Amino acid sequence: MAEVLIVDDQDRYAELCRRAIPEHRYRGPARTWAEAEGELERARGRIDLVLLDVHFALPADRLLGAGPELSLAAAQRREGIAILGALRKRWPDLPVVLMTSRDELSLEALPEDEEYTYFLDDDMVDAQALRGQIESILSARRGDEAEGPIYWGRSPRMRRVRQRLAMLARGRLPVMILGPTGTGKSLLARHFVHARSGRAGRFVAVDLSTVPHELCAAHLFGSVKGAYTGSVADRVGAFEAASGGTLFLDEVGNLSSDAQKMLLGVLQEGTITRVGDLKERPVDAKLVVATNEDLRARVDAGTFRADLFMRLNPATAVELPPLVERDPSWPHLLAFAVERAVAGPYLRGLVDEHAAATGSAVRRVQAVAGGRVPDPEHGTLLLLFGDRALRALADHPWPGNLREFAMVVENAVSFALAEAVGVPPGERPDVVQVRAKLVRDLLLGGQTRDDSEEGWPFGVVIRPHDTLNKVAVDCERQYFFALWRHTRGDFGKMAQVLLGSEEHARKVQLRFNQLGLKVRDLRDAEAS
Amino acid sequence: MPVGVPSPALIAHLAALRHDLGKYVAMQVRSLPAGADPESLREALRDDVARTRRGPSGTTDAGAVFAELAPALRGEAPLADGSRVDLRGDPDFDALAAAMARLQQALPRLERLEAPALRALAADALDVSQRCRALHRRLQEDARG
Repeated sequence: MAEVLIVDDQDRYAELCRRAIPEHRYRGPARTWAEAEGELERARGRIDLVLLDVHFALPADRLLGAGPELSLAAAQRREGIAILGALRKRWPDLPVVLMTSRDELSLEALPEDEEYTYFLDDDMVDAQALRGQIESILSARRGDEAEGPIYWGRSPRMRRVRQRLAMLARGRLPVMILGPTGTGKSLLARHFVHARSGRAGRFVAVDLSTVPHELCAAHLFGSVKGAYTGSVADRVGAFEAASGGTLFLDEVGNLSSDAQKMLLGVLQEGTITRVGDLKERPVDAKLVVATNEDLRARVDAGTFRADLFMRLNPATAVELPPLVERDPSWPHLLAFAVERAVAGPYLRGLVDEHAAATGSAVRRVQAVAGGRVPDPEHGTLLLLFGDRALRALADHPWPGNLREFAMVVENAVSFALAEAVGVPPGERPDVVQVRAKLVRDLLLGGQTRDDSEEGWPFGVVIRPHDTLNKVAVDCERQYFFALWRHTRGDFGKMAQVLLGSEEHARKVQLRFNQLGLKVRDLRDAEAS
Repeated sequence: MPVGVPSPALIAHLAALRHDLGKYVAMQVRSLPAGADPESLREALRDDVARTRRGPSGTTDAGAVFAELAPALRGEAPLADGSRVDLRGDPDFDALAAAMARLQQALPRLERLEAPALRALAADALDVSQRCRALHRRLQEDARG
């Protein structure tokens, strides 16, 4: 369901749309530019499309385009174009359909070609044709914003990122992706760069923050039997595994100095030598590296090789902006996150339970944002995020970006479904309300922590199919995090608590990373 | 009657006719499926012909919209630039005027009309719509040479 603003001094288009295309939510008709601007401001980015008439039979004092150089009739006849001009200054990439065909307008009244301005294919449009045209614009828009598991948003900046990555994907040089935690660097590497690289080989990802320094070289370049203690057989490294495909090195700043030197050799020579071996082996892997560190600062500080840094192609580095800077359409992003969340086995199980409890067959789960609930559709379960829930999501600063958003949405859906399963079905068993309070509590839960000496509260969702190990890891992760905050990030002190000696700080840090906790991310989150 | 090279004022006036009348006079009728039942036809005609333009400033039927714009196309009133033009004799204008006359004549009896008459009226509404567009397009092309 899209949100459509109608700007028209007459009621006819609004009535036609509401009657014949009821699957969308309509605002308006706004009668003047002032009303349209007010609606757009109040909607705060939730309008997906504007339907704008051209002729406005209004008095001169209500016309935006009235002036001494135009007669009242002429100003009325092109008021829609004047409104379009004003709208473009504030919402440059909002799709606008001028409710006229191109040939209905005089040449001088035609707006300059703009990417997001559309005309009716035929001004004598019928409802089905109008619906088809709206759908085609909206689906192109959705294609702009979401592709596979990637959410791009609508900002010009993300459009440039996408264009640049598409270009870099096909080249032979490394691709460097920068950006704060949770912005989707690894998703982009796998589903966008690799997918567009034209390479038939595998995509191999290595998170260097979880690989012990002493094993880093063997992990990346392979090893032969006996190369190090415990090396009982020859081992293929990540570079060889990715040959013909793409190797993604996440947190590249964590490379050990030995591995940095070896990586430089690979980039220069196109060959690797397994640890403990003398034989050079050719490799041809497209390299994508990612970090949220300032690598240039690391070079200046002498902890990252300058020659390797230059080989990683920093001149074309792509920086992913935080979620809130992507001008997301929250209803679309919500639909995107819900679609991904319910594809997982746990939520699918809850959906099935809900379907069994209500005696319905659910083939599709759809997020509905805003207050209006569409009519029931056989086989569709609607997850309703009301206006207040949507506002809570839109107002949150999202320091953890897309990852945080996805987690909050998954949790919200999970709790809402779990609550709904135990309740007798109401008038609309096909609708599950995701309450605003639930959303706000989840958002608050991510922001407040109890540091009292009494201990720390745990929050663990135990799912029927979770393994004991997963539950234990969830608990351990929270304990490590709480301890890290308590010791102000001092791994020595953490080691003292956990293992009785500060000497084990490195071990603790390694486990910390293995649990998926990243110091820089946590510091960023704390700072924000 | 031939108009020579159509003036910008005439083209603007025909654009107004196309927008104000042509676009709305068959908006619902156009959206009906083929073989729509009489009540759907009647409702669509009520919307399109009896309440052609409607908004906060009130409701105007198709006849009133045409009556406002037609005099300047019959030479009975000046165009915006003060010139006069008479389109009578133009096949599109004549067909449009004739269809409008039939619509206006039938409108008071709309609630009592049987299916064949409703279908004929719907065809007239569609014809008005098409003629408005055809007239504007053709003269606009003439004006552009």
